[in-house]
Amino acid sequence: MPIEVSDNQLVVRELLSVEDAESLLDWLIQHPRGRLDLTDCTHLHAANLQVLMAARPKIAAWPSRDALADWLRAALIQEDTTHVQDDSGG
Amino acid sequence: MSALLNQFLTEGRDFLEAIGAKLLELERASEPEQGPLMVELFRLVHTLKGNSGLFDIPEMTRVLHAAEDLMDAVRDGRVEFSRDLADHLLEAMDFVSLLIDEIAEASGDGQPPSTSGHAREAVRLGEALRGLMAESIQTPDAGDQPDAASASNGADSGSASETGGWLDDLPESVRDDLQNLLASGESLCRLLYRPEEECFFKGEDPFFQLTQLPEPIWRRVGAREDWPRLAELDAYRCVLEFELILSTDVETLIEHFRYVPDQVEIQPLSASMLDTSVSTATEPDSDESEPPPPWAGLSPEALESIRLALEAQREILTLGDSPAWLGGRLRAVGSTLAAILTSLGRDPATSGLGTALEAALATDSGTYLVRWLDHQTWPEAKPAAPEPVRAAIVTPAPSHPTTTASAPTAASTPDEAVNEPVKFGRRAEDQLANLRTLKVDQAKIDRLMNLIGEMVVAKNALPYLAARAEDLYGVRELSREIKTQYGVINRIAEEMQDAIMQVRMLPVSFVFQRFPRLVRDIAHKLGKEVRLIMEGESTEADKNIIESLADPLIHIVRNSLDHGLESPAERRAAGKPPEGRLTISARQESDRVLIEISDDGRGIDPDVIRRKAYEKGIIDEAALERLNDQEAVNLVFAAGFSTAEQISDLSGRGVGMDVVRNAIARVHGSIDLRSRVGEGTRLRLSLPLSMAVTNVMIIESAGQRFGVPMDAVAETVRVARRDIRVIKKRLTTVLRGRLVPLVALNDLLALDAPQLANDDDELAVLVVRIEKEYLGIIVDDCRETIDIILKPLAGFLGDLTGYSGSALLGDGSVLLILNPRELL
Amino acid sequence: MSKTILVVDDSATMVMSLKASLEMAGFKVETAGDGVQALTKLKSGVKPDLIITDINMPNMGGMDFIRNARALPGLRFTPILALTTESQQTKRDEAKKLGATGWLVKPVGGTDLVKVIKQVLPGA
Repeated sequence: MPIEVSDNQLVVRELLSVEDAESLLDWLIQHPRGRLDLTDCTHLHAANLQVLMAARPKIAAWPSRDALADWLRAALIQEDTTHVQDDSGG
Repeated sequence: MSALLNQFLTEGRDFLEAIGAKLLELERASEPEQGPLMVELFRLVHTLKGNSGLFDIPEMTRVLHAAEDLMDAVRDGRVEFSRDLADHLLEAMDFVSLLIDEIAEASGDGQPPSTSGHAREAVRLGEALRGLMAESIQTPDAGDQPDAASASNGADSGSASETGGWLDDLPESVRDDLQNLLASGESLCRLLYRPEEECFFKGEDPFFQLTQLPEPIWRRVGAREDWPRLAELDAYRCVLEFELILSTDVETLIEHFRYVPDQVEIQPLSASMLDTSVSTATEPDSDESEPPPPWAGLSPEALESIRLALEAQREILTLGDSPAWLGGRLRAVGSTLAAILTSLGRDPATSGLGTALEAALATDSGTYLVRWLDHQTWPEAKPAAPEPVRAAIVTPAPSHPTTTASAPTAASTPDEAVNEPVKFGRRAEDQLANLRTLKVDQAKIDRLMNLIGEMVVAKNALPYLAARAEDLYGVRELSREIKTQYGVINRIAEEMQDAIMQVRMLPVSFVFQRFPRLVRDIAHKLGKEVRLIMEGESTEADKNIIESLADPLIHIVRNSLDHGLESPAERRAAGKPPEGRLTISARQESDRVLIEISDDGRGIDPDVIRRKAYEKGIIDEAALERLNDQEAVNLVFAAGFSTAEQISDLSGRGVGMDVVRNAIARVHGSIDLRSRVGEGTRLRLSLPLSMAVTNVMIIESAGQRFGVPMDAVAETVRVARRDIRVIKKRLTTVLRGRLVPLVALNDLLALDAPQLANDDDELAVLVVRIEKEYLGIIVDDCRETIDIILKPLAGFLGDLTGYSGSALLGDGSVLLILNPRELL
Repeated sequence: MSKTILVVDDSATMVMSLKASLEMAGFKVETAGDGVQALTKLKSGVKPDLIITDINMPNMGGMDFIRNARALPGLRFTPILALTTESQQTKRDEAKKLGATGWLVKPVGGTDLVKVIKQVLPGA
């Protein structure tokens, strides 16, 4: 199970599959102030990406995989454009 | 040989048989039946071709590819099915069959041997098949790589007018970076990816596709719509939209997104775009401010023909080969291009064409000319002006781009780009697959047979042991236990024997399946119409029996077609339907397999046979009178008899029915011929189900033991010495009112001993039946019958025709098995 | 945990070749000889992470199989690759329309096969 819940915080490990998108959405609906810990997340299916973009939850921890973190920042941080090379928060 | 190659060859033969059968069926099928058959036929050829591609056998693949294209055209109704077409396809399949046989024989190390010796034949067959499609649309040959013409996509060719407003959205710093990268020679692309809404339901993960690309220089992840409230969000309707600038060339991106070409726009970036992007963005209509092109006065038709000419030149330049006349070819392209320039109102001298041509000639390659072509501005010449760029100009998107315009990237060559096959390794590693059917080398089965033979022999030693235990050592209890144990082992051994024999069973279809083709070809050749009916093809018999059937059956069928069935005209005159019937059927009767070959042809005239036999000196005058009709008909089995008026190239090769009879007899089979003049002929072959175990009677003579196969033994009798007479210098006796000639076994085997009589002065006589004749063999004694595994005599003993083999007995001694037919 | 791939092809040679390559790459392989067999397998609880299917097969061909497989609840999102030859562009489009994720071009084998699978199967 890639998703673990602790104290209003969702810990995502490894791969969030397309099938997981629905439960992710449910959890976010039920926990409007829920936070996500993506440290150990290696990939999430585009359906999950959509859910996150629509929900804009607070990200407690970005993925430790830089490449994925960069993508998620580009998608989830409010500025519409993100220039990776200027982005110092790696 | 590798398991995979072996599998391919075995399955390949199956496919070839099926293809042959379907083709013949197709010839006979009615219009509505033809459709499904054609689909099936295409599938078979298609699969076989696909399989051949796993190995390096270009000759086979070439022919199969042509056959596949042809069948595809036939299936789609573009080419009509005809007998001629079937002939060509059958010929092609024969060729493939030949290659398969050759590969099967030669390959030792898992690699198929080179079949390049057949290259010329493969080309000929391929062309013949393609020729049949000549009137239809030619499908491209596999040899022409579909991506050959699309290689020019990547040339950076955009001009300032073609960029569009999206550059505006780039932060100043990013633009500077891009400038620097371009200046340092990086090739940059802009990628816009709008996955379709239902893409998740096609197993796609657009985000995964993007994360596999190299780190982009700039990216934006957006949505086509504003996000709804979470409760209303459909997680599985994809509205994502990605925009990237990355340092990757166009080809790589096209290849990466080959499954979704209509959902991406790919555009190479050039420095000029960035330079002037501000001005173009504020002046979206700048196209109109440009001076009209020099060809503005030409008609659309003229422009179209110029465009076609240009495309042709491009194609010529991107041909993959480099023939000796490449220089000439390049010069020809050069002058054509110069002519096009002139007709467009441009001066070839100032166009740079000359330089490009020189470079092309110097490098022996069309590359420089292609590059020159790409850099020119042509009327509607699509490769030079990437269309998607224009489509992308439509309204600069503010923050969430909502434009839905999406012209496919590289619009002029979507097929080539997408078609580009992923090239795979030639050969998969050898590894056994977990298949339900096992194909086993016959040698392994033979070994099992030998082992069970030894088992039977070893088992047979137990009764001897039991007897010894009782007689010699006087332990009756032990003797009984040994006998009980023997009973158990005996049962298991018999079941094992039976099981192994089952493994060796083959259906007669193994032999029958070649007949449709054989009958068709011969009938065509002879101008006869024949309907072949086959029955009981699933009847099984031992592999050796089935294999020994092949040649005799082919000969019988040929005879039937050649001599039995009449021409359509003859048949009509005789009041028969013009189409002759040839029936081949098989069925099992107790422990025999019966095979019947019957036709409704002219039959065999006993008078003709009598006359012929007399002319050839096979029978004397007395026999001429004496023989009844059936006996006369049977004379066709006599050595050196041939009934054909003239020796035809089909059956009359000096091989008569005697050869057929002997071949059948060799596997302990018999043959029966019935014929009625004007009505037809029927041949019935009766064969044992299996030759693995032979039931023999043990006889004694001159102190030795021999075996005689029971299927030759009619009866055993005791004949009083006084009842034996000498008639015509031959020993003879009367049994059940019939005169039976007698021979002494010791005489036959040249054993220097008289035959021994019993106490009542009676001699043991083994009556054997050979064909319809009975013959008594005088022996010293007849003993029990036993089952033995017959082994052929090896070495110089193999030349002794009087013996059919040897067998080991339970006590370890060797029993020689007599062959009465050869003995006499 | 190794991923499971279902290979559907009526040619035992092709199945053998694909199975060998896939197992070498560490995948678990299930096989079926036609669409009917494959559907039976799927309904009996085999849950592949990816499906590779031939197009031309007896009983039930690849197109019908793709359509039927997509209708199964557990297979809505499973990547499906169609096995095609180089000249079958229309087949590919049709397969795509019916729910295939992409295609492989015969002859398929070795490292490139694995490369394509890794492209469509996250975590492979």
